[in-house]
Amino acid sequence: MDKPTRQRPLMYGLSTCGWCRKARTWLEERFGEGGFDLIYVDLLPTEEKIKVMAELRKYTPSPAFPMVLADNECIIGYREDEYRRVFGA
Amino acid sequence: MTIDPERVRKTYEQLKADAEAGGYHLNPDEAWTLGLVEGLLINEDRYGYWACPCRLASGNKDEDLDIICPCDYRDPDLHDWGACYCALYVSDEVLEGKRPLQSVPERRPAQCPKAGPRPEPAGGIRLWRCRVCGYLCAREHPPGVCPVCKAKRERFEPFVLPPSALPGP
Repeated sequence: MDKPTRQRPLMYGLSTCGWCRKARTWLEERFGEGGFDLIYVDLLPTEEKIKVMAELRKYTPSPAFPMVLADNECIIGYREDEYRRVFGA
Repeated sequence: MTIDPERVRKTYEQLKADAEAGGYHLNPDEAWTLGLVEGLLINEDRYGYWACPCRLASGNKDEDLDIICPCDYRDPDLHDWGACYCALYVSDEVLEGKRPLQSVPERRPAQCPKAGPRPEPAGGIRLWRCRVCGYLCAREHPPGVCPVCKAKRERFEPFVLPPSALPGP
């Protein structure tokens, strides 16, 4: 599996998901609204969706949401403990 | 996309009544639960069925059958984690505060097993099994709606009770 390489955190989520809402709130509190990137995969057009899922499978065999990518880190599911470990708080 | 709050509230009340009647519980955190009900209604408008709001639906109903809410994984997740994958449904222990609510790992296989009739062993008694809650019934056709968990007819699979499971003469 590859490791993501990026300074700015990127969250992949679903616009309908409660855990994704919580993850977004956590990241907003930590980085501010513009301090990270957010992609709602369910809102993408089908072709884009397929591309993104292929991209996510580089990091994990079974992508699930929320999925937060940071430098060398790929956090799957709403994991406050992991967010604190990776981003500090 | 947002849904009329009246429609969300009405659906929530109905879902809660159905859940309690079947021995299930919705998450008592009302804001959380209303958010998920809104997600279900968004998916109803988007796909035509209640695809799980916390999983990426394909939009193809046959492929998504196992993640139509209540999903095939709800009951084992309630047992193992005290909540379904979305934490829309919670167990008695979580409801009573005896167990903390935590995020639930995905148990859906990456390659979804194809739904549909399975080969049936010869003999025995033919039943219908609800894939959501395990309810069994011995009749010609599956019920339109599962009387326990309210899953729809297409969630039933043929189930054969082998002759060895029957009491002797």
